[in-house]
Amino acid sequence: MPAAAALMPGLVLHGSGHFAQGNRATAYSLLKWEGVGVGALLVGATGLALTGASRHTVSLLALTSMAGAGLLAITWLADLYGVLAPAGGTGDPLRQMPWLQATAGVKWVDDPTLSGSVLVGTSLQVWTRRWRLCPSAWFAANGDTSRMEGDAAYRFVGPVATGQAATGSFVDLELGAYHHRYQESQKLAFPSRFRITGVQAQLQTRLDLLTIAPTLRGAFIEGSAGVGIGAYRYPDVHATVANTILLGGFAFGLYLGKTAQRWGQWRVFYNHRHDDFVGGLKTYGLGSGALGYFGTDVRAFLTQRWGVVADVAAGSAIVSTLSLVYRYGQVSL
Amino acid sequence: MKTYLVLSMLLVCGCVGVADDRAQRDTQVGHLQAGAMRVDVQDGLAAVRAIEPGRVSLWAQAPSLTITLTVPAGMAEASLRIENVLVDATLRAPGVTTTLVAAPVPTEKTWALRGLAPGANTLFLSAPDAASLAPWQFAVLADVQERLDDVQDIYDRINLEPGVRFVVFSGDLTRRGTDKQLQQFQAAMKNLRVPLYATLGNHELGTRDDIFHEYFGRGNFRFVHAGLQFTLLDSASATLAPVVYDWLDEWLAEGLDRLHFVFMHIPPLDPVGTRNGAFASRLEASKLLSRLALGKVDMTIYGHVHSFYAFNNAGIPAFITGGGGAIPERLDGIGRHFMVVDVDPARGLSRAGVVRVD
Repeated sequence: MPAAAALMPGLVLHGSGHFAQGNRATAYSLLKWEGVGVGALLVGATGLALTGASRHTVSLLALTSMAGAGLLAITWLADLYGVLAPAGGTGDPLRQMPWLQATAGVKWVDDPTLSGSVLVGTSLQVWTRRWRLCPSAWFAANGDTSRMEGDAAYRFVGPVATGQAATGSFVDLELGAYHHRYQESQKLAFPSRFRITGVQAQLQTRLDLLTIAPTLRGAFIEGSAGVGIGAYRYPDVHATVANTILLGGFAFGLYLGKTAQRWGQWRVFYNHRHDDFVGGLKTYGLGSGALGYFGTDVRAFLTQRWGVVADVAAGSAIVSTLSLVYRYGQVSL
Repeated sequence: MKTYLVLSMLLVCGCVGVADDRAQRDTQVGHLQAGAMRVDVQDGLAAVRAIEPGRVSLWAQAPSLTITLTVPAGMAEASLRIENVLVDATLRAPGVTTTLVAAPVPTEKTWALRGLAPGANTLFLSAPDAASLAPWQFAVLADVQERLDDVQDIYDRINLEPGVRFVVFSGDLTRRGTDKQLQQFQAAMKNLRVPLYATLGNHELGTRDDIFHEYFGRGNFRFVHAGLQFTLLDSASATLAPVVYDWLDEWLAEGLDRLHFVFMHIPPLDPVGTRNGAFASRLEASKLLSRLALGKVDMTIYGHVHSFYAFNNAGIPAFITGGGGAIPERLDGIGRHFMVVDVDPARGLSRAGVVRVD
């Protein structure tokens, strides 16, 4: 009954599942945040329409719309989770991070307009006090495409490698750089070749929903916002142009497992990014271009040290990644 | 609820090949058969609006057309009506007598054809300056959308530009691309003294994505006039169909030794990157721009953003001219406008200017 209520009328009135369960405080809280989401979406969308997406206001209004849409999606998923999850939730957060994680994997890119469909790559994540360093690199099997990224993030609040946090919630400021290289076969009449080199800064946050209601233990939400600037270089014609990019997104996720040895997390997310392998969403009808992409990812550790990471995302391309992950250091829930 | 429906539809309908059907449809434009009578327009540069025994009606998408009219034995006469033609365009056909019998507006002509031979008859529509390399002008417009009722203001202003030979339209003719709206757009064009060659914008996809082709013709095409190559691309879905890159390679090769301008609705990169009124994928955008630069394209002109921008992409001079009347970008001080481009093909020079309407 609560699950059915979470679907209908819960799809419209978020919190209906909890209301049917008799948990009115959580129901009203979810409904309230849905209202905030609707309000933000209306303000953002109306503002965009009224200003004609003016260059002076578009970033703020787009982020407001994104936040509104995120709250709308997240409050419904939270209601559904709260009435379906087992008592105590599906899992607990990592409250202490391993100081080292290394991955190696394969990425499949189904992009109808670009070459380089299979890539291999690796990444590292190293914690030192409140700083997290994350270099990564992906290379196409045919050598024509590669992407390297490097992020340095400072964690203001949340789990680190040097001690235990109270929850899995965090607030990070992430500074990053990336370099994307692409070139086509010289057999083509006009083989495209470009390089994109950019820097970016974004705020990334996670909130454990246990802080909202006990029934939401094991679920979390994420939000991010930032901006980047890239140099788009075309070496064959010796041309370079600069272009900015709005970064942001939201996610809903679950912790899976209550022991460090068998632990994981699953997320569904929206990423506003347009300049990576996935790219923004292309749709039938008149809405292509402005939106980013949707995806889901899962991280699962089956031993103290070893796990797998898998994701799939759909935008201009459909991109799937499967990686093996190794972690080292103290881990605790 | 509506938001969820929209999001759900985006997830369900989101597809990496959203422009493929339209590109396929391009290949069918300009070719139609009715009984034993058939019309084929070279390179699909005209939409066949009607064909019936003894009568053919076309909508031209280029100043010069090569038309093959196949008729059965016994049909020595026919009428050919072509809309959207240059006022001084003439029709000639070896072995066939062509007589202009009606020209109700400057851009519409009907010819009586006599002496048609059974089988294929080739007709040539051309203008006196088709092969000239003397300096000349054309205008560019985009994004009329919901201001269709007021587009006459813009046409009246274009009519005051004596040197403008025709208008190139970079998409978003209408608000939702319905039959009624496209009919209204073409009806309004009767007061324009020059033809208007258009590709489609994302707003032409608001109802179905095949209506534009019925009324105007191809979304991806190219033609040459007076020493300048015009390539119009269908970027209405913030991408190009993969097959269009193959066509583009041929068109770029053709245009290497002459002035070559490329037009499309959604720009590969928005100069205001945080807005991303641009291709969905910046990787694809960069691929396209790299290719256009290698093909020595001299100018790119886009719509979609309802303002005027002059910038460069991959070293190619670029303009956005979305001043047809759709909700304007505020605080930019531009308003409704169109562009006039002066070209000097003999010297390989071009210069673009803005004409404000309001």
